[in-house]
Amino acid sequence: MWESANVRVHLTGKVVVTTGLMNQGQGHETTVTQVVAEELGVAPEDVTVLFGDTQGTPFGYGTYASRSAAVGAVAVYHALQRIKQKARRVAAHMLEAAEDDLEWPGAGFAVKGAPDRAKTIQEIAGAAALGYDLPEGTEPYLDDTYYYDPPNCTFPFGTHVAIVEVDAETGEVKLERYVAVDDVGKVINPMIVDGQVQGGITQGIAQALWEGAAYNEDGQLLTSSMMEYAVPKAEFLPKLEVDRTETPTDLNPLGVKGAGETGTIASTPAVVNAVVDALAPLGITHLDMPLTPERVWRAMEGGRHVSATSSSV
Amino acid sequence: MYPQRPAAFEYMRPASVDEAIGLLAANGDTRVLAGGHSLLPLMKLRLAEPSVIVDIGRLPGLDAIEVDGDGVRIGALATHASVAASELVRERCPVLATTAEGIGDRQVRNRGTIGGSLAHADPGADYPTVVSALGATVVVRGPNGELEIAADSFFTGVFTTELAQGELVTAVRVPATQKAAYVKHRHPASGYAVVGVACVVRPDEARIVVGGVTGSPVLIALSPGDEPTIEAVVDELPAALSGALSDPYASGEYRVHLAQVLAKRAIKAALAT
Repeated sequence: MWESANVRVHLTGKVVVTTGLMNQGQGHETTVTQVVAEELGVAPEDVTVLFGDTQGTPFGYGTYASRSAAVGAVAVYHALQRIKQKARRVAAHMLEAAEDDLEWPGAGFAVKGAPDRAKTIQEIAGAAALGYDLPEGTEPYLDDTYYYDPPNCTFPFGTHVAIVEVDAETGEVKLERYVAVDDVGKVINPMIVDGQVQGGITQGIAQALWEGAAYNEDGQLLTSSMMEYAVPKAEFLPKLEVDRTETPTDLNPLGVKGAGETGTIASTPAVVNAVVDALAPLGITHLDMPLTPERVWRAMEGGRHVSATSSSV
Repeated sequence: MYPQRPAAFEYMRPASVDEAIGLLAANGDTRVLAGGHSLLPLMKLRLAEPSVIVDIGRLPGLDAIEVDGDGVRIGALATHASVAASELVRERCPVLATTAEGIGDRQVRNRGTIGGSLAHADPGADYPTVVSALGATVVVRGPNGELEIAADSFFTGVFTTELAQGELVTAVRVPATQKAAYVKHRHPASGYAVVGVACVVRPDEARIVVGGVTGSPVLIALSPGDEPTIEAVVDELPAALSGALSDPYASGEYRVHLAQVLAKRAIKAALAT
């Protein structure tokens, strides 16, 4: 699925990005701003990222499936390349130089070998926006919309290890230690990636251990309030040990892979398998989620009964 | 499906205990508001629709924690946080301080009161179990004056107590107790005790109280003549806990099992103090 991005570098040199993504707390403003600041050499505070208003954003597929950086930010990247292409044409005209004689030292164009003959991206944007004197056949303004259709999905990988302790009397599961090493390719913002991985791990652990909807025989939901439905709390968790390797993908120019779901995908089976492993001596090979204390206790009781029976034979 | 606003009610804020009792006695369908952390959610869910609320939250002096012979007298409006932090409680009845410290979360501990918890008598609350085991006394004021009710006979069922209409819990008197422990299994969503067991050991008696399994705390008292093993006490529990509560998180059978496990742990912990 493709994603859209529009980038405008305004008369003032301020950059506005509109995207079909929709931030739900993943820090899209920060990640997208970093891509813009890196590519255009502008200050992060000069970048505004807009989303979520169909009146002002191009159509897009949105935020889901760990795609916002790997598809959405790449669309922004491509729009920026076309912006820079046009800026080169405008700068060449301003500097009375050939386009091929220009280089990008970081935040504008300069004539190769003559660094003082240069125009900043803000100067170029100003000229493009005023439009008084543009090269023949050039539309005013630095404004580009890119619809990026990725050639394939990216493939992040990693390993998660859960160490659990099961109370042999009550069936309570305590998570002793959790270690995750993921490879999500090039990391644009380490804090955001760590936060997403930790949040995902927590959500996955909650599915394994606590979260479950219970209904009565009439189909009435019994876990309908926060008094009954257990969402994860910080006190339930050990410090999550998160680390990474960084192998850029060649599927997109940013080298980024999906990061948002590494935690949710890996942590549920890691925790359940750890509990099943702990109970293996009782012959237990499967447990239904969530692994509530009563469920684990009943499984252990069944296992003890079977073990006792078989040992007496 | 879940109204977030309570039904309409009259709000009254008396200036003294006597005035509060007068208001409680004069109005039929009345509830007392102290910390509000149990009552207000019930009202928002329309599980409670009192026509009159008597707010005792600002009555002066009712939150005092003071010396009472060898023990401690804790005013009804003492918050869980202040009981947990009280040097007097920590010194004379440490188990009550640690119990208070483990109630709910910080917000609840800063608002919730010991009198409110006792009068509300939630089967999942911690104080009823612990004060019953301590052999504490609930001090009640009503239209006919003051009376004292033994904590272990104060709780009569789910959300029900010996309190009559017009009566107000004003304090709880707790005897000095060193050898005691309270252990509980917290519900992962509500934080309430699914099962809580308190054990108090004194030279002349041992008292084990199980909360959360049935509607009100269940006491097993042992006299000096008895020389029971921990196993004997634990074996006695299923019969004492008939009619166990059940919910999607923990069946009655599992609650009884938890009570047995936690009783063993509470007894060992109390003997180790």
